[in-house]
Amino acid sequence: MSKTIIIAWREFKLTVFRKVFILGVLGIPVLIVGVMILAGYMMVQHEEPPLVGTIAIVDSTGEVVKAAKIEFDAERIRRDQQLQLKQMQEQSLDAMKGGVASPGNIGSMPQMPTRGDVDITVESIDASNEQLVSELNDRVRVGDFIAAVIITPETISTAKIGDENSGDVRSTFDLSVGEELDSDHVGLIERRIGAAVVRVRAERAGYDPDVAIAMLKYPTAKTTRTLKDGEDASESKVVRKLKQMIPLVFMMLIWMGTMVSSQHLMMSTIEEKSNRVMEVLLSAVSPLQLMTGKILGHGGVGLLIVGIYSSVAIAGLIASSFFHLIDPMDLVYLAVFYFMAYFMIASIMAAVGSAVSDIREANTLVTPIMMILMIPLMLWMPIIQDPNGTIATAFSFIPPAIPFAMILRLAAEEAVPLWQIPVSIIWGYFCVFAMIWLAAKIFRVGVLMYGKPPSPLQLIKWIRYS
Amino acid sequence: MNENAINLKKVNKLFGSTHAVRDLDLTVPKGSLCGFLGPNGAGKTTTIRMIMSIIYPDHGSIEVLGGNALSSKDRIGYLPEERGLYRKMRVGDFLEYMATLKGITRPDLRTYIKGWLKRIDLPDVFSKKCEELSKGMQQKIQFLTSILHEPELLILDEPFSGLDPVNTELLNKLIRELSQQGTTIIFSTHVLHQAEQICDRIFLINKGVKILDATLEQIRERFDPRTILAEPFDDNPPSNNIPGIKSSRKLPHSAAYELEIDIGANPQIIMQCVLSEKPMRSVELRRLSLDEVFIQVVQQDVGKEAAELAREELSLV
Repeated sequence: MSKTIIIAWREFKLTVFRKVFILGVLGIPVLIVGVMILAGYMMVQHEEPPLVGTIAIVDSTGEVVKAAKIEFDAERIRRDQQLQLKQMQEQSLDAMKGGVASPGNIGSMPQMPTRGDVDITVESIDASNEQLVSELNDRVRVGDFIAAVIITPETISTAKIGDENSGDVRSTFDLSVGEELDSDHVGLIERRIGAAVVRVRAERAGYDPDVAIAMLKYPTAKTTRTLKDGEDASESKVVRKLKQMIPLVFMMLIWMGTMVSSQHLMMSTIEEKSNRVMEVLLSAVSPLQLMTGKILGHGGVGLLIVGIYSSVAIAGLIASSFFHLIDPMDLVYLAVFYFMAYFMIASIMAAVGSAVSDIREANTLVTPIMMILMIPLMLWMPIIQDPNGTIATAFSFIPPAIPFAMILRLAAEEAVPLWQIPVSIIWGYFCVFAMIWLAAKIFRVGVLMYGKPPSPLQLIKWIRYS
Repeated sequence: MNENAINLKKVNKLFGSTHAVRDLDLTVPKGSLCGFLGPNGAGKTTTIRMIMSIIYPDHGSIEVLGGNALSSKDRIGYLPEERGLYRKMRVGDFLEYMATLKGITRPDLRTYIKGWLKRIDLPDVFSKKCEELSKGMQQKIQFLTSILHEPELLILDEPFSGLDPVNTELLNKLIRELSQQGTTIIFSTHVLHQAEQICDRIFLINKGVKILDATLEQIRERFDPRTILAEPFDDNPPSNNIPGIKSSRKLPHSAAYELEIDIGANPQIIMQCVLSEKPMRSVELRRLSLDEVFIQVVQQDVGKEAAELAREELSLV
């Protein structure tokens, strides 16, 4: 077995089989998936308490009480719940297929239907003055009623309908509920009383109340987005958001895999220097073999991290039927630019690790480098918004930002000019070789140097020494 | 076939403005046990690192085992001056890792390592972490990493530093054994009596320049003080009338006398004459210790340098 491979395997094994690594890197996706499964399980298992009791309605006309009795009919509520549930499932499916925008109802967005049993009695109460209203609220407080509703003539008035000066026929009603009533149940009472009011208004205006209520539903929009290149694409907001997020996810995968593994590489180099084991190793292998072995070993660590996280992401996309949003070629680019980013940053970190004697010294050298590496993170929004703009194009050819800028652009919707892809890859890998060559020169001298960390001028001297 | 394990020709190494090694010629015959001596900062470690191809010379050529050290690393054992182990690694794992890097592929590697640990009086450390060992134990483990692969050439940089007398003797014994088995050994030290005990050849460098390169016999001949030490039973000095004796003087804090003999005089005959003249507690031919040779040579070197500087200054005037 080649000595480089022996070193690489040791570095990989030593990093990956550590508790810190297993908990920190492998544990996080497991934790995320676990929490998601647990949350889903808890939602399924969660039993809403039944809504049983009497609602007191103060309504001098008696019309709303009559309509409320229809709206709170147990059979009607159960039927509506099933219908709502079906609609929500259809909306979710449409969204996943990239189809349609969410439909809605007038006056309220679609609500999650309450799943518990509902058995409500409506009772008309005569409370003509404030003292009686106060007594009514006290009875809600002690639990005689689950809610008390006060309907005024203005609530059901249709006087403003057709009034050009005021197109708004909305009005209010007072609802008093007990402290412990579930918020979903409060929502149900609000919607049902509202529907009862609309029912009364429709009857007064001479319409069939059921038809009127059905007419209040918004039609479903089927949105078509016309793209610049003339193609039409139908997509939902969810899909559009996802398409914006995918380049960021790709870049973050590369950034995270690269940073974690190259930090480990730097730390292990510093450890070997501070343990004074470096020269013992150099008696068996050349500095280049040592550096290459370390870079390859930690590259494997990074690849494992990227592999785990991207597998979790891909599994999530497949499970939610969004996998079609990813172009398989983007996965090839992910690999190409991961290696480019890793070798660039790893060579820098190896050089830094070899040049210093402890982590404090490393921080002073790494801080300016980290600031440069943070640039692509700060520029992701302008690059995604204008993938072929000046900033995006410029950073596609400036190392070490090349892989980050290019993966953002390639995973974005707008096509990158074809010539830029091979040129940036060839130029990027040329830079990789140049950086490894320089790092090897620094590494060769640095690993045997102890004491004060080198200045940039000294680093140049080291390059000339070897 | 090349009879030399190491050949250095006109090797120079500069670190900035410091000339660490200057025009160094060095030849280490195969199978020899050589001491590489010099004061601190003389350039010993730099030379050894160049021999090991860890750093490269600016000028000159280095040949190790017929090639360079990079191509023969598995045939060379090296104990560097900077000692270190992976603190958290187990001793057995560390030795196994180093042995694999040195190209050992034997299936019974763990048993082989355990056998060696027994030989260096550390039979119970195989599963211990390196950080649990004492400094002396760690040093023995490091020595083991340099010989596990049975090298043809063994380079030891200050192998005895920090060792107690028992372990020094153990290491001494192992070095002699390896030398008897045909391993070429070169070790640097500034503790000269150790070199005197086991070496058959000495290289001495000072300020990057070789100032002595000879076998121990040649050194003794060259630095023969032509002095006899005689200690009479009485307090009277030996007679000055014995032919060949140039002068005599009493050594301070001793009952012995130092007799300087003429160039060309036979010391054996003079010693017999001294013994026949009157009873003596001891009569011996004085030999310079390596320490004295070292000081003498270094002082001569310093004197030469000062003279050269003075000459340069005069020529400038």
